[in-house]
Amino acid sequence: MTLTGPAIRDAIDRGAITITPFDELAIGEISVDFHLGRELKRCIGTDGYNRHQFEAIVIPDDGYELQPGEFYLGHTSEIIGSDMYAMRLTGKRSIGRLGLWIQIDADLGHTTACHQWTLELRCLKPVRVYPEMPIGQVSFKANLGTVLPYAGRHAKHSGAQESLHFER
Amino acid sequence: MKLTGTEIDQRVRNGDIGIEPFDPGFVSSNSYDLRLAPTLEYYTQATLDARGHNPTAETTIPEEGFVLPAGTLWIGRSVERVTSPKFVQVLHAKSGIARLGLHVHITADLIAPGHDGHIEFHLAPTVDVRVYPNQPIAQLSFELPLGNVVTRDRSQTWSADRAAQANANRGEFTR
Repeated sequence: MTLTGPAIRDAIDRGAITITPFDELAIGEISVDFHLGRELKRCIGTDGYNRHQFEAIVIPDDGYELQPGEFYLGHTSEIIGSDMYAMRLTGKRSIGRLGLWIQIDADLGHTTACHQWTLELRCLKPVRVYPEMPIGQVSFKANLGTVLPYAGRHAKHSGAQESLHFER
Repeated sequence: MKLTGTEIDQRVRNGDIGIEPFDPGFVSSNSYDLRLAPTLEYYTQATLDARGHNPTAETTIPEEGFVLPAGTLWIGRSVERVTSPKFVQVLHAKSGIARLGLHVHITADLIAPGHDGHIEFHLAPTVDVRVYPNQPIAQLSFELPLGNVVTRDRSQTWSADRAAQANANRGEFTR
């Protein structure tokens, strides 16, 4: 079951949910808005070992225009985590309306993970984005069963993190 | 917890959920079908700005249908007006629409309880696809949330001033 705003606020107060920095205005009916971090990575191809290569971009205050056909990694400004609830990161409806995807089918945030979350950005039309703009929302789901600490490799880092899928 | 079709039907009849117009024939095991209203919006400028006003124009889908070219973006809405003060709504494509390569939303399927109005579709065709006015195109499922529902004021939109204030409020944080 997805937690409502008051249930999220209560969970934050007792330490079951972490959102840093936390903005009271960001709490909605069933989620908390998160904002776009300043670091972007634009995929520019692969190397001889078939590993994706990225160009690092810092989004200036006057914005950066994402281009269709490109693939970008971004990240949440906030550190988000919970030892009690599973998390789901989705885009805001106002962002979807602009034709901007913020993740590619990997919307699940595992219970016990706590970090800035990597976003997978792609767009249908050129769209200018800004640092700290509201870009998505995290919702929290009650678990059934014993929670085991998340041991995924991508949970140890913040920022716009590249895939470790092929790393041994 | 996801509402079954039987529960959706019951909740519409007792007024907990409002679907107007309502057709029991559109209730399925876990959802209600939504139809595509004839009016589509599209952006008139080549580039968009997440902080600015992005003007749109409208077009009407004729009876014989309208081809949405691959890679384009259209804003549609449901024929139905939905009111759901108690339940979370989740928007899905109908599976037949998904198999035509047509997105009905773009990473934003959650609609909060308290939403009152038509459901907006963000149509993104992967391949050319012909759509028709009033065709069933999406389905809405309903979930019972955990906790009290408190509706937030959505009238405050994001602006550069808010961004500046947010930046001022944020201190250093640990990665």
